[in-house]
Amino acid sequence: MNPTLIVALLQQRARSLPRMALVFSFFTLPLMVLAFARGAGLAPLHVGQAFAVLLGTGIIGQDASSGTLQLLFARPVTRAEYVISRWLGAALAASCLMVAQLAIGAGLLAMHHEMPGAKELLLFAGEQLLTIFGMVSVLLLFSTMLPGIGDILALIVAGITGQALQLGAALFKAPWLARVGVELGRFVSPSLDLGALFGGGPVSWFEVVSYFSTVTLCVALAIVVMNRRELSYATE
Amino acid sequence: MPPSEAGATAGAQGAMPRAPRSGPTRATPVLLLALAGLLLVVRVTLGVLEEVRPVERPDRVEWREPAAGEAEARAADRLMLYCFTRDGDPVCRTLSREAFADPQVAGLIQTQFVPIRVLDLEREEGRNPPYVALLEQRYAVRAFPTLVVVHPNRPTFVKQAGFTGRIATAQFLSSAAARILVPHTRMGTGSPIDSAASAP
Repeated sequence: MNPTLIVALLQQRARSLPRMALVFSFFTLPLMVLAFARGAGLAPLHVGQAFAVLLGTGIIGQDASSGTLQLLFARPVTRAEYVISRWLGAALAASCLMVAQLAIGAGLLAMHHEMPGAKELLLFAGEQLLTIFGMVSVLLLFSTMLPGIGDILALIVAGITGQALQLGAALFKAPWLARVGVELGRFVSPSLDLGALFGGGPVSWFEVVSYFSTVTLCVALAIVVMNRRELSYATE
Repeated sequence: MPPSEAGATAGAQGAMPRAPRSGPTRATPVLLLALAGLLLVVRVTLGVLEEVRPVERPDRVEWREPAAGEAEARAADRLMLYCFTRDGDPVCRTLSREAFADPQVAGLIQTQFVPIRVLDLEREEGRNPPYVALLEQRYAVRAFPTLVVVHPNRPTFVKQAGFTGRIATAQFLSSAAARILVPHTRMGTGSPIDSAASAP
């Protein structure tokens, strides 16, 4: 991990006006809902995934497209260090936004005398945190293989394919096809239901392992893909 | 978003003049790859095991008894979701485990409908209580599980027989409200066994 690379990522993201406008919208709109609506609970604050997508899109592909990688790797920076720093930078930034939003949201709920319990808040924050790190991992892998913001397009296509396979499975009565669709969806949108994990009921260890498997696989493969990438100083 | 946002190197340059480093810059992350491989093997193994012996996750829907649910729906002028089910039926358990245990599907049901659980006892006791028999006759329930969406003050209803997957069920539930409240709305067909609205 290289703190300077993380700071550089944050500065790069902050310089993109459309990106910041979207982040601002996703930060403020749910809070406005909580300010005026009663009984909404924490549901409007399920935007951790959106923060992850907004800050993680083009996480490596944009550097590849702009020619930054050639300059960067002329320096004594390992490719793994670069990949991990980008991953952590985007995920930590999205996590900070989520925590700040949750703190303000909890304050608004407290004003309405609808403050959720500490356990509920912690589970919510934990789930959002895991979703953010998971989503940035998937974007990281796609971003090493696709230029620009191709990663988000790949994510959308994979998500739609997963849903289409599940609907097709219902149509053709093919459970195996549904399973393929479910697993594809699970891969491109990793999350963990902490309520089920800490609720005292039966736990699906498959889902727990699946989450961590997706994250480690994406980060490891992203490093391998970057290691194998040949950068041309003449054409790119 | 522009295709490129320059700046990554600007900050990175500040970090470069650190202590001299040696060794390859493309070292393979052996430990991480080994961990990822191990987790993948465990994932596949657990996936197969849980396919054979599924984890029974708790149903997150707050089901009402038929009489109480119908009264609540009439008083609040809300749609009712009947779930005709049988104890111990594997398909009913799959529906409960995969759809009703899912926070998003359960949330959708809780906000859009008054959920009513109708337990069929014909297999266990030879015949059903009169209100269960009446409801099954009214909505032509012949398979379990069957989901029926109906408004207390409207004659039409939509139903889905069997379980066709979490997404298909969520899609049926999402479109059911529109199909009941705006009967001439042309919606997606959903699953093939999702019947069209018909008079009870």
